[in-house]
Amino acid sequence: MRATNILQFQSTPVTNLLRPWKKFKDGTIFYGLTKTGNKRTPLTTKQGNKTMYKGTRSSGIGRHTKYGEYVINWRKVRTFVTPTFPNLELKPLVSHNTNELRHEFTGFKKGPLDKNLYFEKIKEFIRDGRVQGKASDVSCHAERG
Amino acid sequence: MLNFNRCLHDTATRYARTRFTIPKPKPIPSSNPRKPTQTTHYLKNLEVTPPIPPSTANKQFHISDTHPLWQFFHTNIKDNKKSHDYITPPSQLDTQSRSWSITELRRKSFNDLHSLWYACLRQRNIFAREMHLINTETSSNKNNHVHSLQQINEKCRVTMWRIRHVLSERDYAFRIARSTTTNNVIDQLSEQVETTEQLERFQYAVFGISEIISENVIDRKFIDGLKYITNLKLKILAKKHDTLNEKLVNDLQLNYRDNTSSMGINDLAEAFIVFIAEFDLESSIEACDAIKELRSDPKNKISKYDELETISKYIKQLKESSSSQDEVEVTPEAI
Repeated sequence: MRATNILQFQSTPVTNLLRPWKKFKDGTIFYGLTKTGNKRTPLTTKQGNKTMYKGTRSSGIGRHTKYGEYVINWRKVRTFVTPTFPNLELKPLVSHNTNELRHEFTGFKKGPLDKNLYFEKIKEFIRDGRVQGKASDVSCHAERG
Repeated sequence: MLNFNRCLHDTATRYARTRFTIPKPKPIPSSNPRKPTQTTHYLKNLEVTPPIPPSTANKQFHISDTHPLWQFFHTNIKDNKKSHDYITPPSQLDTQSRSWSITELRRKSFNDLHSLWYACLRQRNIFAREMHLINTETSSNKNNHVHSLQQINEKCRVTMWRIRHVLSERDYAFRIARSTTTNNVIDQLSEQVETTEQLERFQYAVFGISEIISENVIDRKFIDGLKYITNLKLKILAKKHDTLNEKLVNDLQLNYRDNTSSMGINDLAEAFIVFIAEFDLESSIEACDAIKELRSDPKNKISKYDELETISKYIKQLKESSSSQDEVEVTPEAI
């Protein structure tokens, strides 16, 4: 069976060239000035019509006053909360030689979200204080979560 | 000729000839005048300084090795010497390592996860810069280099979403546990308490009360916790020691050995005396005597509505006494 010729979807070669370009009332094209070339690249801030606005997600943190000043609204300014005492020994990746630890939630139906597990952990904390689990040893493969 | 028959009352004055009338007086200067856009004239503030010779050996271009911005470059350690690379050499890229697993992250504290997040973010920042620079180059090895960078970048990203996963898991577990916490559960947890350290951990885990009293936020929850801990203290000691139990039953009408009666200390002043007393027999007997004295005067009873104010007053006094290092014991009678 032969595939349908794509050109048959367009009525004439002329309408194919005059595809439904989106135009504004004043005749300007939405996506730019030319109809040729690759249209599928992302638009930059300099491209597009007068109505096209592409910010850098970095502005709009305040308002302009009538004296030409800019008042910053500190609630809109993004902040980065860094740890006060960072642990600088931690690296983003782990050596491929270390085995991945497995957590077993035997007896706890909902796994890590089980309330009994939570109370069990509090009980252990009250009894023993802060102690390292047995998985702090690298050779340990499985541990209760 | 204008027709003023059907007009507003001020139409006539509006249409009147104003061309040759006496000019209006100038308006009074505003109390809040507009600020000048340029406050200084540059010619007045301009100073001529000796020219700075352009050379990289200048002191102003010296950058110390410990400058924090070096963290955004790859560090190369060779023979105990640190050097920084503009772009990580492909031979030094660690393509073997894997990202952190969820189980490993579950074992970490919040501070560790927070630091790890920023370690990943910094690493990804380095990679993004390097990939951007390499893409502008025209070297034959370019694609392989970028590909391995992308792979490691993806691993860092996986670590990052796993950190978020673990944190949300913790939050859900806490919410579920909090919504199902009953007095029965707290009583079960209190069975673990035997020593002073265990009591401190119990009050921290269940009521969020820190052992350093001045650190705490004073609210309803704090007062409830304080009362519970007071009763728990006396209950444990009364079960251990007969002398204290007799004293409690005879002087204060409190029977902690009898499980059927749920009556305990409910007054804030009394609770605070026991709360600041140490967790042993002698100091609790002293506390009992103090409570007995307190009960002799009915004025000392604190109503439920004054509790928040009173407790903050007590703690303020406690802070002052500890800061002046006087060994004056703060008791509610002194206040």
